[in-house]
Amino acid sequence: MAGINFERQFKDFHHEVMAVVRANMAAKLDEAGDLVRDTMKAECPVKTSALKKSIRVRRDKKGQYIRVIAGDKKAWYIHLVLFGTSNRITKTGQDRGSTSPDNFMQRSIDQNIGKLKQILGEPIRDENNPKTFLSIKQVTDGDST
Amino acid sequence: MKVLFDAIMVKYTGVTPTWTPASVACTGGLHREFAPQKNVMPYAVMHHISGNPEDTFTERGETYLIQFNIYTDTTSATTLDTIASAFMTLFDWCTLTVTGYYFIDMHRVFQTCYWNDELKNWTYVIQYRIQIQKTP
Repeated sequence: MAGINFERQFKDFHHEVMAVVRANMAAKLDEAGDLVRDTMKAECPVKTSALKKSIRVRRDKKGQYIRVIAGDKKAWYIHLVLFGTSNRITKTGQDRGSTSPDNFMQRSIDQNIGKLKQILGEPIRDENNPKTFLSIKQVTDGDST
Repeated sequence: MKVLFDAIMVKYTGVTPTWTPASVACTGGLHREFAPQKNVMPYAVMHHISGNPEDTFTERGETYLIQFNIYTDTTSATTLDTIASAFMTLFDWCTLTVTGYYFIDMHRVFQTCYWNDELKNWTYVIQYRIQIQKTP
């Protein structure tokens, strides 16, 4: 019976299937992370370039998600850039105006939302044979049990 | 997007205007993009962070990310929290009347607060995602 065969085949080759899925997911996450990071660097306001230099990508050890990080010890003021400030009054009482929020992180995601959907929504492919889609038949090729 | 900010302002003041709890608590008023010089705290400023068209073949949708910044210059965060709570009570899942658009929803996506040590004031940031659709 086809159902039983499928179940047996999938169990037998579960590790192979998951290896292909994980490798694919990691590659897609890397591509998505790099895309957002590059746009963020292009969109980031530059004065001393400390903020721009602080933008980096970090993938978790299990490869399940990716983080694009901005801000560090030198660029500690990132929250003031992202969310803005109130009017600044000097000691002599002069109003130096406010800083409008420049949420370049959100903007870099919004700009790439179409591309991100395309990257993360692509069908899973076998990295050894990128022209073919992953299928149970392909993984179990040569085994007809 | 003037009609959207007008709708938010009407929601904030009340239609007549009757003055909502948020506008009563925020004595310095709600302003768009920047507050007048030497405006007395507490006050709030609304910012247009980003917007995306979400069109289909027949429908013209728009999604906006709007941010409210609430500023208070007291060391205690009590006033800040009171105003922020009033804002969230007023705007969470509220209905706006936007001229020329069907209103779909307004939901809170993010909030944070911090003390600005240089300016010696509190900032409360609240972001909302608003979805509207152009009327035919």
